[in-house]
Amino acid sequence: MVLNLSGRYKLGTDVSCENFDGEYVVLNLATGHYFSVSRSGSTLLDGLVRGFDFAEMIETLAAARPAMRDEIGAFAAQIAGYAIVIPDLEASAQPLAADWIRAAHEASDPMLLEVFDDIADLITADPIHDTDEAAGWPIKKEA
Amino acid sequence: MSGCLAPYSVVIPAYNASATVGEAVASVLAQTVLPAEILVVDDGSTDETAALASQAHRLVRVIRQDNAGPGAATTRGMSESRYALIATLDADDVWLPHKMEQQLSLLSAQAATDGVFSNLELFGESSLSGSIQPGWLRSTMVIRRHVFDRIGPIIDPPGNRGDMVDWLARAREAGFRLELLAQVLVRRRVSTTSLSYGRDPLKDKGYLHIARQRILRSRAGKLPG
Repeated sequence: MVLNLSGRYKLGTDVSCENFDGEYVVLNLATGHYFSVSRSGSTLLDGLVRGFDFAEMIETLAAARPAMRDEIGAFAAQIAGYAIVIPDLEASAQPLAADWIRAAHEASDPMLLEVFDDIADLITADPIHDTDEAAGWPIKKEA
Repeated sequence: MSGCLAPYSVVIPAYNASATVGEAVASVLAQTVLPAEILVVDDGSTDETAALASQAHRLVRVIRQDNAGPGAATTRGMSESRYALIATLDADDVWLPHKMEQQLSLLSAQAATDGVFSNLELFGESSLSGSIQPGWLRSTMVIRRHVFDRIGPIIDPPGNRGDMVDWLARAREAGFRLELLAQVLVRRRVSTTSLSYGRDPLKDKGYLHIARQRILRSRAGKLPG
């Protein structure tokens, strides 16, 4: 899959992610791959799943750091190739939000996706085991 | 041959497992090589788990603790176990009768192997029932005690998922040799409520937490390769 400039996207079916200090950690539970996304990459990923216009986001990011324009193609191919994002045919385009524009202006690092597969066999073996709470473990009680 | 195999401890962490713990313990007692002890760690259950386990057999010792999570309960059991080989089993899974004999034979023949696992079969009311999967999990694990002594506690991540992923990753990182037998030696229960495959954002936080820790360790040059 190649990301289309006019397309809308959402996180892949088996993908979870969390923002840690401005950088996303992404996990594909089906493949066991996990990913470290740079701050600028996290900004783009965040914008994609929020339904912002891809072309507009590229212009905004490139205005803050022109080299970004050259990096986005490879980054987009990676997040599509690893099924981190998939097409969302039901979403409609959303205007860029002020908080996103602010983050884009502050994202001056290279747009990078680091891929890790060192524990893929352990991750893919684990999560099926989701027994009902009467027989298994509930969420641990808060202290 | 089985008479020459080393004695072993079994640790079964359990929380509100009254519906299944009897079956789990029975599968241990049906082994062709019996354990020297069975420790059921009751992690603050509010049902009859402890009573059912303690009545099962004279080999069973029940340890009670306040609810702390599966990793903490397993750690408690391992700490209190007394033998050089430790096998673990989730309270809702079952072993097949030759499981321990096959794994103990491997450990007996291969002194350099620190832990052995096996493939498993899913069972229960699920379309996944009958599937065979690699069992890098608590229910298939047999380790030498020095692995636990070196790696330390099994940590429960947020959401209580992924405790064994983290612990096994740490064991590999420390250079321990862990092997997976191709034979199916364990049956892993899947309930109807697990058909979602557990894509639960709250519970999956544990895996993300583990991934984050490994990324930080990679950046600090602390991961091999």
